[in-house]
Amino acid sequence: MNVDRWRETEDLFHEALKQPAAARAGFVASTAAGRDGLADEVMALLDAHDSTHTLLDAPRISALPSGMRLGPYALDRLLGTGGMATVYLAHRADQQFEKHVAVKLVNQGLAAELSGDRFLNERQILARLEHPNIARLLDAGVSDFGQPFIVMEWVDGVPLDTWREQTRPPVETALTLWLQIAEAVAYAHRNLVVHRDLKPSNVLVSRDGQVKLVDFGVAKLLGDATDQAATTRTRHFTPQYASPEQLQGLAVTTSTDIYGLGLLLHELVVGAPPYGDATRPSHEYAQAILEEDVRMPRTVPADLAAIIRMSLRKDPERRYVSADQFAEDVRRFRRGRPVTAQPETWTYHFRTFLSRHRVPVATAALGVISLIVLTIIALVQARIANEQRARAEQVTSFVTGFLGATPTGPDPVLQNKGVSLRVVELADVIAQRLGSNDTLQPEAEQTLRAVLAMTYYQMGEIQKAHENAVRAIELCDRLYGPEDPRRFSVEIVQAAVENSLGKFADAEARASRIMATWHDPSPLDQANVALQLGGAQLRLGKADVAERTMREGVARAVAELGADHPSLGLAASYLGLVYLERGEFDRAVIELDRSAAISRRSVKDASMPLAWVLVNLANAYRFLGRTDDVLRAAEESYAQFKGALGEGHYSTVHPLAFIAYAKAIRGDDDAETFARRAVAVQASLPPDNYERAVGLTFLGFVLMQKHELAEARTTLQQALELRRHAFKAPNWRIAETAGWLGEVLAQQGDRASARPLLEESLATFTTLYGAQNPRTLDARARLARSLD
Amino acid sequence: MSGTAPDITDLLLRWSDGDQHALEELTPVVYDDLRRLARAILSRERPDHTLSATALVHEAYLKLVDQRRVRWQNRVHFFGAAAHIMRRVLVDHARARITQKRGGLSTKLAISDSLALVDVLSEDLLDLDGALDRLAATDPRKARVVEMKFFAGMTNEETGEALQVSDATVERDWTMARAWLIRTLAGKPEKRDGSKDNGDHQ
Repeated sequence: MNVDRWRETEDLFHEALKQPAAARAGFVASTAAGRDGLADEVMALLDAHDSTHTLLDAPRISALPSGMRLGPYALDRLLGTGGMATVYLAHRADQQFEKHVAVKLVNQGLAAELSGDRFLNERQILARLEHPNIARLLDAGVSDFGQPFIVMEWVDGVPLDTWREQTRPPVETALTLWLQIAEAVAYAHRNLVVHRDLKPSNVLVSRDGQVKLVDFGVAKLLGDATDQAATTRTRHFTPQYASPEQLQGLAVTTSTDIYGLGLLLHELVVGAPPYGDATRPSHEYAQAILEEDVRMPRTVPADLAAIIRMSLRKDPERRYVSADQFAEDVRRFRRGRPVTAQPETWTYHFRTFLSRHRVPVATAALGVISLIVLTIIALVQARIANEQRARAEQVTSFVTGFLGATPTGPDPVLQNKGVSLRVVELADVIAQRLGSNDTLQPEAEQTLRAVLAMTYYQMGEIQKAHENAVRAIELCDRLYGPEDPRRFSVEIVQAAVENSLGKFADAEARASRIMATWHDPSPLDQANVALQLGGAQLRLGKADVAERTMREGVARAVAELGADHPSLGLAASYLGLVYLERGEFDRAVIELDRSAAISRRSVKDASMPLAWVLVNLANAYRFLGRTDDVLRAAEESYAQFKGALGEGHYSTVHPLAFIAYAKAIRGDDDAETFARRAVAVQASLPPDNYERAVGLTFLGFVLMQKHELAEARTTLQQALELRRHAFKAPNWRIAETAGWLGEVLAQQGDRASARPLLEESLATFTTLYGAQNPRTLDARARLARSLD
Repeated sequence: MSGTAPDITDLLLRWSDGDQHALEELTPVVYDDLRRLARAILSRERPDHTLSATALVHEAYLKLVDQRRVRWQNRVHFFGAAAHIMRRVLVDHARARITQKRGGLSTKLAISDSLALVDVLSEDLLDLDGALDRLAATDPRKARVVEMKFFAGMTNEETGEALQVSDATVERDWTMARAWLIRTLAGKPEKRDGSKDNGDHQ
């Protein structure tokens, strides 16, 4: 090894260590720029620095022989060792009765730093703490070897995390225990003592369920001496339980203990680290503490989750003001009363999102940043935070109204506010940045891809949705494996995408698989999967199966949220569609009307859910021959679509086609104009997209009404081909297009070609709806009229 | 041990007073005693060598040195010397174990889990020993710091006293040496221990 290079490496390594963990990589890269391999070497050392080595980091302490005396205390046996101290079970040798104590012997070079007056003062303050749930500090001194030691009440118990693992307490028991801890902390705070180091290993639970906090204030006792040295001292500690302010070297206050209490509550309730896998490299974990939101499984009740989140906020000033207030909220939760903890505001998330991810200011300048954009970003945040189910769901139901979907097109997005195309613009900006950003962590990319997939899908950008969903699923496989909720969420979107692309069998297979493997979906997720599965089944000609799938799938959501919940309004619409498929048009109208009414309650204009219900309602009216109602519903639908997506979006094909249809029946002059607009708005779709058949079919119908047979024929032929390709089983869409094409062919005198189409149409309607259905009768009349 | 103790104490005092020959005489005496103690402790089949090692040095010190006659600095020097000796004792012990295991004499013993663990550590220890030699070639002081802190459990202050540098320098040396060693030893993947908290403060 070259000695100069060694010195250079060493200097940069130490300089980098003085930087905050998050800034080190950047610091090294810029300082070592142009120096071949130096940055890599230093980064490798920094990584090594942050990791733990079984041998080098094995307790390297003066394990004293038992029987040895420290002042008046005789050591009995070693209880445990740590980086800074070794704990012995001991007893006071100069007394007749044998009372056990725990002697904590300070390791390493802290000896000289601890002998000051402050140490003595501090320990006297601590010795005055008398609380049944706080292990008493009994004595402190310096050994013959010059090692300071602290003598504490000995607690014969197990650490909190071990206790939780062993006893698996119900939430009620866990909360009772935690309240004891909180009261002890509140007592200490009243005595102006901060624990500073609340973590499971400092909370001991005895066999009879008594809890005691140990090491109260010890961190300070030792910390005052070590703070100065902290920048140069090796810090190969696990930061798992450090607070953000401690990691940043900011002041430690009672709020640090609020955070610690939050960690303990999280530990008790969740039983897992708050920022995911504890085996992450410590610098990564430290960064997570500073930046990520707490992970919380969806099984945690929303209010309790809100309480924990509030206590674990990054900014000490935004946490509970006191341990008492914190405890009071937990008691309120226990009594089933409303809690004071509030989720972080969206604007807060928006600010932090912007500052953390450096979204270009251009994004902010897109214009008025509407509430939607904010909520999308909040959703991004929530997903990044990962498993933030409570909020993610809240936001999702508000922003995305995933249930507000119809099988005939993309699920609608917003229920309360108009959708802006700016959402797509924003999504494009994010997608673009994702494509060019290779420093992003795969977890973050996965989250963003998932959100983009959903956003694009809901905006009707199916191809983009597909690309992002594929990528998100790919990342899930790599990161989380096949049965992770994050994967399932994206897969729901992917199933919806497949439904939109006419790949119904794929959608059915995918949704079935999700249903079979996802054991604990939220009610809304369950409903989402069921609706996608049902939608696919419906279009595969299995209306009965679809009805059962959807009814069972939404049952939980209906039970929890009520059938008239805005998010469930369009579940009714799905049922309407089942009836529509079955030819039960009156029942379809009832369900669809109900669904529209639910939607109208929560929206004013620009509602895609409402737009889709009205499309289906118009269709039902069409089959009942209620032409004026068709026109009314289609026009209202168009207005909603236009508000949501702007003019010319391809989803507007549906209302435009029905407007054209109604007008053609009524003999209005502008029927063809609407029909041609319907075809035109679909120009952006791929040529083989099955939805193109909608515009073509109705243009064909209008042309037929106008006796422009040649164009009607080619148009209907194209439409029929698309529909045959998309729908394998007998389907009324194929039957309708085939019937009209047959009629056109017959009018052109080509009876030989017309007959099989007209017969197929009649047969299909008979199979689907029965012989007496109005549409079947209509097909029969068409056959007779055309061929006689 | 009463016969040896005064000799060692004398040697230690002479060495502290600057007599380099005293160290040469001291080493074999202390080595034999340390090895005897080591065998006793290691035979308890506790896998945590290093913990035992530091305890060993303490025990050796308490038994071999007449504490009424030495000052704190003498103790530091004893520990400093003992660190290097301790390293050799442990490495020799590890080699012996591995040879024994490979020689097939005690295959049965090696089946036991606790022994297997000792053997894994033995391999690690030999790797560490080799890496320390490489470190010593570039930066001898850092290798000494590791020896003292790791093999004798000396504090920064004690190490600094023994090497005649400040505590801060010791800490700096240790931080760098530790990172370099972990990186150098990284051929054998290490498990991160994030789940267990050791009571480490700050």
